[in-house]
Amino acid sequence: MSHVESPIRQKWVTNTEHYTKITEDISRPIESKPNLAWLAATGFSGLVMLMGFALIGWTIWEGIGTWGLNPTVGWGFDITNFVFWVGIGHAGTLISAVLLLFRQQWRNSINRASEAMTIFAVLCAGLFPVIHMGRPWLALWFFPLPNTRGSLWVNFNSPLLWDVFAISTYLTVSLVFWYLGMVPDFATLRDRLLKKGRKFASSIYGFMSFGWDGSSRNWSRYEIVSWVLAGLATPLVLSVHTIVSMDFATSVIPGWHTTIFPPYFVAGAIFSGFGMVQTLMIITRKVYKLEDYITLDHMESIAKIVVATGSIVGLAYMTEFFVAWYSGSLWERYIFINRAFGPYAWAYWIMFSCNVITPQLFWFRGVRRNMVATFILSIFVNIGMWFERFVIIVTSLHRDFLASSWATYTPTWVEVGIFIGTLGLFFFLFFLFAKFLPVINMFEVKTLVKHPKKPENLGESESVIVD
Amino acid sequence: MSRPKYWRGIEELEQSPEFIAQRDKEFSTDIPMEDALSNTTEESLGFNANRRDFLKVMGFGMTAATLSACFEAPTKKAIPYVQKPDDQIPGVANFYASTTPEGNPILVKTRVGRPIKLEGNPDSFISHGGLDAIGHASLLGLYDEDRLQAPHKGGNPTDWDVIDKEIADKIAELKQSGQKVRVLSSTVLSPSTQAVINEFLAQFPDGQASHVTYDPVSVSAILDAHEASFGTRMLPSYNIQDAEVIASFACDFLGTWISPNEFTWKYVSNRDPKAGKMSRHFQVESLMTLTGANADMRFPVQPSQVGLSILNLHNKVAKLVGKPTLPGVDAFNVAANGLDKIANELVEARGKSLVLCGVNDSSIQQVVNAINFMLDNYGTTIDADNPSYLKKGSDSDLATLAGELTNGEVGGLFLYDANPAYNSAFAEAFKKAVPEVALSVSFSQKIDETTELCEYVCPDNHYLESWGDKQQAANLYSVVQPAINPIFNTRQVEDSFLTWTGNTTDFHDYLKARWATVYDAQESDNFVDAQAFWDDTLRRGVYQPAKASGRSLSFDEASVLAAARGIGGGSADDLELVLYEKVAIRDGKHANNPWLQELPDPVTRVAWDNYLVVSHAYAKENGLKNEDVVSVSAEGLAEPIQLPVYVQPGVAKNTMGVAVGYGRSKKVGKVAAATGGYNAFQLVSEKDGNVNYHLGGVSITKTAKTYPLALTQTFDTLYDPEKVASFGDSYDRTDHIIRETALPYYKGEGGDDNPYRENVNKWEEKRKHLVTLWESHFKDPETNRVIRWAMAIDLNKCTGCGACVISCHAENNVPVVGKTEVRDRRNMHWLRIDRYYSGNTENPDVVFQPMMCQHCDNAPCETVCPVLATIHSNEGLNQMTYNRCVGTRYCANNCPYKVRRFNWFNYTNDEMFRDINPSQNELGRLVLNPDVTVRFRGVMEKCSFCVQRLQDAKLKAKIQSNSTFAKPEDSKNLTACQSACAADAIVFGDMNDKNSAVSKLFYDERAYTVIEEVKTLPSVRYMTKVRNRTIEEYKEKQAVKEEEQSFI
Repeated sequence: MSHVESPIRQKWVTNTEHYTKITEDISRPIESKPNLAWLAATGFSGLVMLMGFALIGWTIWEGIGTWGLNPTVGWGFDITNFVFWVGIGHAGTLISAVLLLFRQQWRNSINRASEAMTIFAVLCAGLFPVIHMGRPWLALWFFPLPNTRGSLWVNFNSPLLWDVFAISTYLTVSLVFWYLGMVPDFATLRDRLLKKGRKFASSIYGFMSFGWDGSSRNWSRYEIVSWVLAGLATPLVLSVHTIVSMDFATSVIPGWHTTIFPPYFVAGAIFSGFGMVQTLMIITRKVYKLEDYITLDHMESIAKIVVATGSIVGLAYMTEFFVAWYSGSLWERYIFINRAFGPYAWAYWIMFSCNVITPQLFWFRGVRRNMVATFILSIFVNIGMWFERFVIIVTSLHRDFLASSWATYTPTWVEVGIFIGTLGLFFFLFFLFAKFLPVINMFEVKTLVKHPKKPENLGESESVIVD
Repeated sequence: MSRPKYWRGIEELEQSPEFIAQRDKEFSTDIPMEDALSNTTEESLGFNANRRDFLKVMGFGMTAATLSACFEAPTKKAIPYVQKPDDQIPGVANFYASTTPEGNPILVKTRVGRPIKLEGNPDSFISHGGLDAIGHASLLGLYDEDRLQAPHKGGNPTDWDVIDKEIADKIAELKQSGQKVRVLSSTVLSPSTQAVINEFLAQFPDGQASHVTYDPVSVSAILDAHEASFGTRMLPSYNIQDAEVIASFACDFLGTWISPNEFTWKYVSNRDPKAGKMSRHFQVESLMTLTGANADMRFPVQPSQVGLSILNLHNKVAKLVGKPTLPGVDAFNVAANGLDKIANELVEARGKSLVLCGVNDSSIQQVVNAINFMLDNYGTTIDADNPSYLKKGSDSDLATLAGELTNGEVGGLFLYDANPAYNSAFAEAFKKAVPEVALSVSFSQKIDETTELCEYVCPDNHYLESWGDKQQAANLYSVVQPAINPIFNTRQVEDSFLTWTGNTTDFHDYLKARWATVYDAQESDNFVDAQAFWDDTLRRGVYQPAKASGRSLSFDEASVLAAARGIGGGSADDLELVLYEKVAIRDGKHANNPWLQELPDPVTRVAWDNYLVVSHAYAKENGLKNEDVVSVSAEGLAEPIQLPVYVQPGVAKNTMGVAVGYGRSKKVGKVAAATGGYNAFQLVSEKDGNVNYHLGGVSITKTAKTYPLALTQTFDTLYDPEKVASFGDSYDRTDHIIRETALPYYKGEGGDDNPYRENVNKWEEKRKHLVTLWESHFKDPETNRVIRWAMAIDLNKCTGCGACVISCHAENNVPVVGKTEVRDRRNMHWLRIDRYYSGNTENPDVVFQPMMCQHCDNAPCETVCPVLATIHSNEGLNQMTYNRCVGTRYCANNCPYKVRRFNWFNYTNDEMFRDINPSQNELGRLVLNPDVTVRFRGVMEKCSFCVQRLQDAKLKAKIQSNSTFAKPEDSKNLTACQSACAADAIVFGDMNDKNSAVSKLFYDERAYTVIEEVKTLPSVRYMTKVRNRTIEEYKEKQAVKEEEQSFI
């Protein structure tokens, strides 16, 4: 309350003069009864999720043969979806950790939802390495647990094992960071609900708030842990997708065996993550009428990151081609020509258009600030990035060294159903999140409001949380 | 003698009274039996019983025990030997010599009394230690649950007494009625069986009964032609190993013709460039056969022009050797005046050349005889002194029989190994007439198309349950001995005949008695008695009497002149259809054998179906693609047939082909029913006394339908020439996979312009620059003391026949996955034979490359497995631990050779594979090799270099030499693929042994590794293929290749 607001400084929260409005706006969906639209959307995505689980059950019961794979193309939709979901998970951590370290205040409005997106995406991603196994009931063998099988241990040379560590670390840190950020907001909800006489709901939020009392000591510790976790999470943003990319980069298969993969994958992951953030934020701000908190300026910043990372990805695509030619390796050259002009050329060009060409429209301010256009472009990014993984995995495998083994891969309805099921799972969780948890970080957004006025109709007892 | 007395203690020494009292007691303290049973103490059981109670309780107890024993508990059928038979050691295999029905002498590997694997008998010149695909797979026929399990009468099971009585009555009736009695069989190789049949027929009055022999895929014309040319009806033996120049006309002698296993090793033994022995092989043919694929020079011609080619060749040869030419021959030549070249080279190699023809037309065969006679090949490459008995069928006899049947003259018909209602030109006649015959008996093991029509079915034993003998040639006998008791209530056909003849000897005694006569006649000097001779023969499996020689042949010139006039020639523009045999299915006798159905055809790489083979040029012109269904009509075909198209490079432009052996009756078995297909025997006709496998006047219309073929390798360019035009010219990657050259270059001719030397040098240079981040598994000199297994595969010797694939299938319990799964490219073969074409699609060069796990020293699969399920052994094996595998398939993705196979389904239990995978039923499971784990769903598997056989060999070596450091000797029987190969194309052994065959080949100049630059350091090396071509021929082909590039 003490600082002076510069009139030229960009306003990240509009039409909001006092803190109470923030608390009211953000708590409203939690405190009100669920509306029909929410029930319908949640129910539908829940059903889709159940279908996905049923198909996973069928796969485990009957065998991987229910998928369209063959000895030549041993990975298809499964690992494509895995990398796709892991990639989506990237934006959340980047927003919550990296932007925090860089003191990008605009992150305050979107970090909560992005982190939630991260968690749910990583949960979806984590399904695939398990179910893609021929014998998923032995998934425990992926962990270096002491055992009675002699000196049998895991293979620390295998990138798949690195994946296990990378993904589980990432999930843990993201989850803790996300939860920690919600603790002060839980306390707000606890207090508000108690005041409204909803004792039971209040007690749940009270439990989740770990007895937060808003004291200076609380805030001080909170700040320290936030910064520590941000510091921990930042390298993870880079490491997770680097390691995922090594699944391919350390192999000998042309099209996989490239050193460009780590930076290329990380850029792609951030790109896809922000694409998904765009999609979700446009829906959320519209449905929950949060346009004052997630402003066009926010959306514009995100669009700028999308166009930047999309261009990096485009550069990577072209570098791959250059290196394939420059390396002199005939196999390498062939695989890239086959990628762009072979039987899966359609997938390649979908990928290329959606990831490299259409995001370039974000150079225009008008497009960046047009939410319909942004929404469509963000969907393209999601599609394009899914196809990127599909192209990398399938086109590299389907025609590798020995032409006698060349084959094609067509997914079966089981695989497609499982993918749609994970979309259901993702949105089901996201809808639950939007209903029961504060989608925007209340206390962090309040820091963005300068000169808050005390509304006349408020009593003295209303707590106003200021950092 | 006094001995020192020993005492245990002072008590004993002193013999104290306590000691004496104690000594006589059994237990040192009293057993409180009474206390325990009564109620007196606290520890007692409270069982205060008197005698009556005791009896009551005992009675109850016994009743309870009896009742509970009545409860059906699951029975385990593993019964231990109470008294171990002398020759059975559980876990140790016994080998017995026997012979396959096709006449290939074998060794039967049995484990505790059940046959589990067949190997070729190295002592016979037919098998030469190898065994073809059909031979290997015949083992599975033993465990076929679709076999007839009892004799049948009128379609219902009955017992042998009933059958014997009724048939004896009917025979008596026949003797009185005088109606004709015929035994119809395909070639009977067994002299003893022949004797039994003759004896059976002799009981009828003179002229009433006779034996008719026919072969579904007939070479009767060769026998007829020899009768016409030389006055003796015979099939000569061919000494292909002595032929320096081979001209083969539409003759698939490496794949299907007469005795492919024998011809393969004979042919290959003369194809060793290092030893300086290279035959020159010309092939003139219409379809692309396995033999054509191996030829040095191949000329596609229309089927109707084969006769014309031979006539022209005759005249060219005649001119060169100064003999009279045949008049009135239309001039014809194959591409590039090939016939002149063939004639010149044949004449140059006079006496060491060979002309073969696979057309079943006696006129053409007579001209072939004339050419061979002019070339002095009789007595050298063609052995008429020791004729082959492998095919004795007479097409005209079958025609006569069909006539007799139609006229209702036949009262008794006995069908032994004959199925004329399916596979003869007279199928319709048989279908109509057989049900009318008074006594129709079939000995078939299955309800096949003809058996269905017969009143009595007296199922024969499987040959592995039978006694018998075979005579494959004048100078080769072999024995058939049972390796197991008859599984079902079946009876050997010979025993049936003997019973109905009234002869009470059983066939085993009959057989021995017959062999005693052989002993008396030929071997009495070499063995003490007939029993010793029999024992020795039985142990060896074969008996090879001395070769006869010195027979002089006189050639009948007049008959050739007459025959030549009858040979017409067709126009190259007319569509023609040829029937052919597929290497695995042949005449369809083994249609219910899933191993064979799943074996892809070596050339087309299609399993499980037959299809219309169409040339690439024709397909392109008429817009046909693989799997399009077309409707085919031809001369003499009642209604058009529908077949899927397979576009085959190398086929003469207007030639179509359909394989026989498909479209079996559903009653033959579940696998045959699942296979389906079209029965091309319906297209067979009779022409001039011979069965004709060729149809003219063909027309084709495309339908809108498609039919998915079970393709294991797609027809696809290795890269698209158009794309090469836009992206650069260095995209031919084939020399990283396949290397081939011409003989003069191999020998070092051609001076500086020698692409072979250039390549050898280039690769040696390249090899120096190959780097790897990995340490070799074999850096440590310590490990060089142990064995290091390695394999060398000679592409010059491999004909692509697929015997090794089936051998591997049997040895390693590889599951059969069926048509639908093969369509999805999920066949499980650990060993596959890749086929590559080069050149143009009109007449490409073909190379076969057996491909299995390369057991790389720097194995890409090993590093990526997260759970260490695949690891390297210190003997160089890349080992797969099934138990540890979780099935991420990462290893398969990272395998540059794509040889890893994943268990997509639970093949041993999943409903989907019930009818197809033999290990799904109780009987079929018996074929499984107990030394090899059956893999579960979700587990990766691959070639193990037959690690179980290697362990066995190591153990034997250690036991034999009484040393733990002993290594097994170099052997031809280490891996299953190696032992199956009659051509010895696969050499396996210890690379650390400098004298082993494999280590010599490994460092041979011709040796290379596939995609060497990936630096996987495989333990398998391939030997560059050397074709016997002149430099000019090589350059001509190369020019075409550079234009068209390679494709697969």
